[in-house]
Amino acid sequence: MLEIECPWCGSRDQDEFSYGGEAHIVRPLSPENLNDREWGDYLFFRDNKKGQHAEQWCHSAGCRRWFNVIRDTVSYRIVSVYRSGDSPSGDPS
Amino acid sequence: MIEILRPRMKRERFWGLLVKGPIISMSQSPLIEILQPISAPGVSGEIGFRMREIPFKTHVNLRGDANDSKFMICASSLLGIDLPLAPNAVVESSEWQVCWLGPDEWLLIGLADQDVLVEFQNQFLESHSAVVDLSGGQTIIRAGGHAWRDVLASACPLDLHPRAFKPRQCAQTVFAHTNVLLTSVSNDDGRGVRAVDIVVRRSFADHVCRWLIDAAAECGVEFEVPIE
Repeated sequence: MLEIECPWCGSRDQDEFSYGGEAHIVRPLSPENLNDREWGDYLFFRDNKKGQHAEQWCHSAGCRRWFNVIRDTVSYRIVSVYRSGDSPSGDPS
Repeated sequence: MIEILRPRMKRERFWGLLVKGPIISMSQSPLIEILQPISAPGVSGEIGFRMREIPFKTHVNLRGDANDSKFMICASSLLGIDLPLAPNAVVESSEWQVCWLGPDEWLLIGLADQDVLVEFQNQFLESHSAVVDLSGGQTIIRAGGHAWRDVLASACPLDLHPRAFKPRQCAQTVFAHTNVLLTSVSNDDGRGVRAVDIVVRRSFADHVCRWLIDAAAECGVEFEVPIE
């Protein structure tokens, strides 16, 4: 069980959160110009990193905000937490 | 919201706990199925956990942009107090208890009537905001007694230790697989938390109540019938 630091509410149990997959996936600006492979890449294919992985979490039983987490997929240790729209260091991107 | 129900049949026992007192015909509390006082000492012979419903309050969900000064000023003038901006903070004016739910979301609990809510909606129309009356949709269960932290911890992942859960604080969390808002009830001197208000959706209130009664059987439980 993870203990996750919500950027608003502070440290809470994983029970209160829901997982939202890999973070920082940008929707293509003009999907109509993509071929099937590129569109499929965007929709379905994700990195399967061993090590630090940027992912989205939602504090669904709390403040209901989405935010980003850098988590080590080997040790499960959470390296950092930052709000949506911020870069991993915490500065607005 | 308030309607009179026909008197219910008296039950002598509830879940093996001794039940006393008459059944009163009254407003429709979501705890209608357990509308009998319960008083069952625990293994040590004392009552460690007491709870009662605080029914029929006005609950209003307010959403708006905390950076919009027009919205914030409007809220302050209507509530008589500034909306709390610190996460999980609770502030109180003479008429309202205001709980922080999110960076742009608050819960207002009070005793206002329908006219006040219409006034709210009209006033907040000036800014990009939402006012939703939740009064019929949720209720409050107040849980106290010296063992309340232990009883709640049986089904709640939140840290309820005094250094983590402080006076004038609230927290949305899960209790017994149900989304709840916990609000601290301070001691009279304002230092320390003596009880907790569990704000829960109406349809889950009965489940939460029964879970609490069951979880508190060991330390002794007392349940008061809501009095209007």
